[in-house]
Amino acid sequence: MAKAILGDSEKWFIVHGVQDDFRTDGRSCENYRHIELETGILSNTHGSARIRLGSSELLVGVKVELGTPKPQRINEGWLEFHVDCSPNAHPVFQGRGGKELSDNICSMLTRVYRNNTVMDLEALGVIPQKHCWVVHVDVLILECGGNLIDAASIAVKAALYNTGIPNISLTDGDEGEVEINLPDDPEDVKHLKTINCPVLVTLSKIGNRHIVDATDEEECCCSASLVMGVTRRGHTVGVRKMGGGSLDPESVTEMIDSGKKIGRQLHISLDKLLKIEAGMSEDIKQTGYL
Amino acid sequence: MPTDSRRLPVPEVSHSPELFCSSDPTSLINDDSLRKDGRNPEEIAGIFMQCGTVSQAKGSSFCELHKTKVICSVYGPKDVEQKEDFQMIGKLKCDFKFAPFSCHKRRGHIADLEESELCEVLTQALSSSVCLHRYPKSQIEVYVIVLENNGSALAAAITAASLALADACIEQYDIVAAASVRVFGKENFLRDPTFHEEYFPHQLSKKNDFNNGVVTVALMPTLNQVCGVLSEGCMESSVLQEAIQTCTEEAQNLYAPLRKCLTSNLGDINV
Repeated sequence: MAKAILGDSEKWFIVHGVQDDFRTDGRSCENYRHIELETGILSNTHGSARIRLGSSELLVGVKVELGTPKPQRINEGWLEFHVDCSPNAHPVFQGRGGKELSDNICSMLTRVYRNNTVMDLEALGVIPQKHCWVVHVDVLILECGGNLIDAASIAVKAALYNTGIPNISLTDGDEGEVEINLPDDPEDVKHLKTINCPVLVTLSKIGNRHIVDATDEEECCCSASLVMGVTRRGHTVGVRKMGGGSLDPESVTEMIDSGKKIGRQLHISLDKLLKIEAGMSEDIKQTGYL
Repeated sequence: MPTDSRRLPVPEVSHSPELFCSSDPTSLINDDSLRKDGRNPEEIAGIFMQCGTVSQAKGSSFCELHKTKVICSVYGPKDVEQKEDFQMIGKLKCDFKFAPFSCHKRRGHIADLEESELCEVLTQALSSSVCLHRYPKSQIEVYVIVLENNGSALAAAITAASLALADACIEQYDIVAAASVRVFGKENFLRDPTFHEEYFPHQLSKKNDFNNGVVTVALMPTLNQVCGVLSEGCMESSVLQEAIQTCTEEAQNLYAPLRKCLTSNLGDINV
């Protein structure tokens, strides 16, 4: 994985700063960096979002396609996540260099979306056993500035909020077959219910405190972090320890408590922002990406 | 899906017939508050551990947790591959594989996303226990194969891998013991879940999928440090914390049998 290169004294400076609840960019331990979020920016997708969190930048595009339902769930569709680390962000991502990072983000997203409470997958069913909507969520990393997991999950939620699935109509065709008709109007869509979609909160242990939203320099000083999916109501939907270090059992409990608190705050501001964004797109003319 | 032409061809899409039979995941505990295999919810599964099962490997182990069987071998420390950079700390390379016949569903030969995720969790859990700074310029290879998966495969794999590392005389701060718990409602924590007790979201509906999930914790028992946490399913944070606590206690209890297994193995050498 791409990492910043720091000397020992620089690391000590960061660690001591965190101890005093004062980080190198002036934040306290439980503050996020400034988040810029835009939705509906890519015309060829069914939903899209761009996020800039500090100096990390990600682009998420959602495409929906018709597929065959899985045999264990005959009237439901499913979500599929793909993460791509572009060599634009860092030269080490060239070839298969970004595989580890992208697999981590992808498996974490899959993990937190893999339960029945976060999304109504039945809304994605079209004809039982025959057709359903498959939602492909593609995350593209454009710039690495630390905390990519949280940024990806926020952008995914925003892109899913923005996703419109074509309102198809079914008519009876020949020999008992059903015909699927796509509406002529591209605006004729139904939106997904994303109210329960989780965001991921990464808590990085530095010294004997934990911080949220670590920059790439801070990630260098941290040996173990806890990534947790938090829903709007504060429920956890998947936790994983990342990094090669170990944690105290008590600090795991503490980290879960603060992760829950921070996740809920994040949801409140994200939901507000998404509502404004949805209202805005009607009266402000889009000028395109960037 | 890309297929490997060198392997034996099998139909591209096939499903296990067991997918189509109905199972009732809402009744993991019967009226006498016993589980399907007759255990109490609190009761742990029987564990069997053995070192030195693979004779060519530097260290190896075999671990059986109820019907789950895991075999692990460790090779190294050896030189890092040519193309990789010089590093002052050693590299831990892990490989986690389900044997194609180990699960209800047939597993492919190429690692899927689940396997690569579990492999990453295993690597991260072990790298906090191995003294990697003692092995500069070298790599240690850990290969784990799940021969039969009857639930809690990750926990068994982590325990087996740490045991194999100890058997290979790789320096470690502490042994790693792992345990998992199925959270089933607010009150019930089923220790060492079997395959049928593991969390499958597709068996549950939206209404009953709350406070349901599986939590696995890896612990270094003497240092009392958590070196891996993995959870799945939607639950309240207090329930999650309690489940982690339960797993930690259970992993702590594994220390005595692990120690016994290692010392009895040493006894063999002396004879």
